[in-house]
Amino acid sequence: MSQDNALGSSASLQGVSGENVKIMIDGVPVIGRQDGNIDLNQINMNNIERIEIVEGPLSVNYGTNALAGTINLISRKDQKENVVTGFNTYYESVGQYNIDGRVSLSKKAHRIGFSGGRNYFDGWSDGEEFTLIPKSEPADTSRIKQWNPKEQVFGDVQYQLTLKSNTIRLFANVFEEAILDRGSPRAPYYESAFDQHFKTFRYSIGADLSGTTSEKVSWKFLTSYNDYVRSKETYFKDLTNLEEQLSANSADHDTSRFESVMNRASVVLGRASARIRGEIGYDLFFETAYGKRIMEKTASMGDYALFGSVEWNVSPQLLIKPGLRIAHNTKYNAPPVPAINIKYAKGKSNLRASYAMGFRTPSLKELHFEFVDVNHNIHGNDDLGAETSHNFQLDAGYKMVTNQTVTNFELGLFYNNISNMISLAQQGGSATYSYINIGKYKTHGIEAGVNYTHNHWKNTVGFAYTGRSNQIDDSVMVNGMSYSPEMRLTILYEFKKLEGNLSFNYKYNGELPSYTVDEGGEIVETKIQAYQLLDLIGSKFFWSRRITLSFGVKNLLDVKNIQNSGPAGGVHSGGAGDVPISWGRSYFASLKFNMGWK
Amino acid sequence: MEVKRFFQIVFLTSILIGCMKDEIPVPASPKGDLNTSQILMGSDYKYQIYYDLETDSVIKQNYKTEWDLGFECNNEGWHVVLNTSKLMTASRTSFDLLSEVLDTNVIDGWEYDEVSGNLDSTAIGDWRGFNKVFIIDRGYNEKGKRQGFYKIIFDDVKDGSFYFRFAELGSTEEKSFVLSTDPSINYMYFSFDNEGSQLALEPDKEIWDLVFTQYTYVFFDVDVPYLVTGALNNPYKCLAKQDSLLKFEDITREIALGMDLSDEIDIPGYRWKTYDFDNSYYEINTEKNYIIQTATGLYYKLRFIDFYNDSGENGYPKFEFQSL
Repeated sequence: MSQDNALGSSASLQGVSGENVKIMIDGVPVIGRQDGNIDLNQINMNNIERIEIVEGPLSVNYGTNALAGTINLISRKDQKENVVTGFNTYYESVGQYNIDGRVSLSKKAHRIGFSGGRNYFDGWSDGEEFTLIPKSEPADTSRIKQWNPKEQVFGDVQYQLTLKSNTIRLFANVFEEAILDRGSPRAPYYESAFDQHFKTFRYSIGADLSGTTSEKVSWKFLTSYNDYVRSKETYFKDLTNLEEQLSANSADHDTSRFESVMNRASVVLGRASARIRGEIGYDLFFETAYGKRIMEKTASMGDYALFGSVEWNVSPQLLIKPGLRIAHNTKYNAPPVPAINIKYAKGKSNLRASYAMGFRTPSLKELHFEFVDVNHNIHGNDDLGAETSHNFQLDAGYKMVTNQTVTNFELGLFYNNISNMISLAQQGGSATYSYINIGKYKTHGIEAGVNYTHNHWKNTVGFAYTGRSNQIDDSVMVNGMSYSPEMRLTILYEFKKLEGNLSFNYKYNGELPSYTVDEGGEIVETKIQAYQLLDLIGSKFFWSRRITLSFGVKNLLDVKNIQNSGPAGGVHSGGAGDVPISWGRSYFASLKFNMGWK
Repeated sequence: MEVKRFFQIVFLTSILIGCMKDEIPVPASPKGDLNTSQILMGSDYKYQIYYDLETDSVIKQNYKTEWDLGFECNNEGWHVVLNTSKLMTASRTSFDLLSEVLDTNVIDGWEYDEVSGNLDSTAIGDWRGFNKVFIIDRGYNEKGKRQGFYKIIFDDVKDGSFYFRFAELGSTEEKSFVLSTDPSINYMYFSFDNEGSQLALEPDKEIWDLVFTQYTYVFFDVDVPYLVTGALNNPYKCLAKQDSLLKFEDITREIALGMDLSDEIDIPGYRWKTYDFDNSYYEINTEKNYIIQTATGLYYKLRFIDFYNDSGENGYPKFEFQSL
């Protein structure tokens, strides 16, 4: 996870950054990438049952952006009772106030569910005094916050009809976010400031159908429309009387909008126990971008793909699964994408090997960006090709079960080689910039984990050692790789008589070396310091676990900004300096209520 | 019972009080007995505005795109300058005839006028006796649109008149022009538009001190010429110095008289503001004080306090000043 105070947080997998991580909700891609990344804070988690993270490309099934991996958030769908309700509140000492609720009604074949909530954060700067409730603050230099005030409101509705072994689910959801970035009072008199208001609005509607027509044939059909609008408005505020007016500079305002329609369907042929099974399907995706810095203010792209895979059970132990995706893209020549997975399982051990190709379609911004004024000349490039990657993985697992314990061992190796990375580059010696396919990036590493469950205990320890190409920017490389370790440890102890548990979550991120160019044009090594995050959480259950009350300390070690040692950057770039990790130690209390009635 | 109370607290905290509170206004600070003035350049900086400190008034203004070349007006003057507010450049060729030069492939690079206004280092330089073709890039208008290329041969300067021939770069038809100067101004301007025209845009050089305009600045670390926005002083007798050590209030006539003032024209220049890329606005460097000796010999201290008008629109330099 990485944090940007303006763009939110993004995830990276296997050392590959967020623009190559595909994020989906029930298989529908989340749109609205800012600077390549989806802001994970904008995903409504209140109705999510579980999260599936797959490292390595799933490009055969999911297409673009799934180069490093996919994160699929699965919403709650099944229910046994006729009425299910849930209600959560969360308070954190830095000024976070969250509330959400849901209700789901089920009768015979029908189920209808509603959920909604609001998250409010009143902003935080290091050293700020603790207050239980937000209060008015003077409009002086203390008004700027490192972590900006933010409000999110969200809701969704689902209707599901189950007929024999077929299911139809219709869904709609909406999300709105407002962030206020209060500007610094302006010298010399500190009587006015520019405040930026960021607003995001998303909604999606869709239908999700699945079923089986016989023991040998099952099918899935998913279609969805998504809309995403992000706007920035700048207000000029008089701090002596709090009057504000919209800034007259057009450059201070910006609205970008993305709209997408997707449809994916597939059929699986063959019994579950068959020696050979196959899946064949299509995936259609059409996206339109609108914005003042898009050439002619709007641009569209269609991607129409066929995909298929075969599962061949060579023997009871050995499974081979090759797959292929062939696509037509309206903007560029899409490469055919192959993958092969091999699994060997015997007794308590299993061994998996895979190769997959991944790709990232050039974004509409990279194809059609336009920013020309006296001092800038930046153009998109409609001749761009896809970024492509090759991923190899080898994983081994062993499960040990005794009367009271279950222990899982996992060991994995991975290798990613990305080429034709798209990067903004200067054209000749001029001030003209455009996007070109130039960069190369490699990562490789080892991951190991042990999962141990014994009576009251549930413990996990994981370790990863990742090597990344030494990259100055997308087009300038330094020889060799830089390595960085990571470690995580979670310990959960269940108090069975007291009805509660205590958990300890620890994450160690090792020093991350990288390279940059200093003011004299020399290549120098910089290091992002190692840091550790530790959370302690205690929970108590009441009323047969219908109510969970939790208290905890987040970031017990009080990590805030960590240092990126090295020289200072140039005019436009940041270079060395602090990297924001967290707002520091905080305390939270949460109440969760869940109940069902027959 | 305690548990129930806790539920109530968590519940209430979450829904009742998590909302945005208004700020508390700050008191306005007293401004003292300084003069304050604001110049209306506009957000696209399309005007060049001549300003006089003594009368605190704008003397004259023109669109920056009205002219291309400036011809030195004092008696022995022969220098030719470019309109740096349009990011103009010039290049010498080795050709004798205008008709031999039809595109920019014949040149190696472009020259800019020195930002200090030092006439020893202009893009055109000493053309006397050179008699070969110059290519002139007319730069950009305020919307960023290119103004095209011209070619020119300077033939002579005598008795206060410049003799030259010019044509559009791709054209084979040339035009001769005689430009007469006026000793009461610094530069007589010339525009390639309308088959060439002479323009007396500058006011009388005795009655103005600062011109608010865009001008070309070459950032040498990246070697990219940029248009910057600021105030240039009158090359005629005006002298100036920047100081960032003293407090503005503490600057007295005695201190000003003891200073070694410079005749470079880019003081104050543009450095009294810095663009803040993180927040996308201009910050004023209020610690930069300027001491200015006007064409009439008076001393002033001046500092900039804003670049925005009351609606938050940029292009409105605001400054405080006081006669010493």
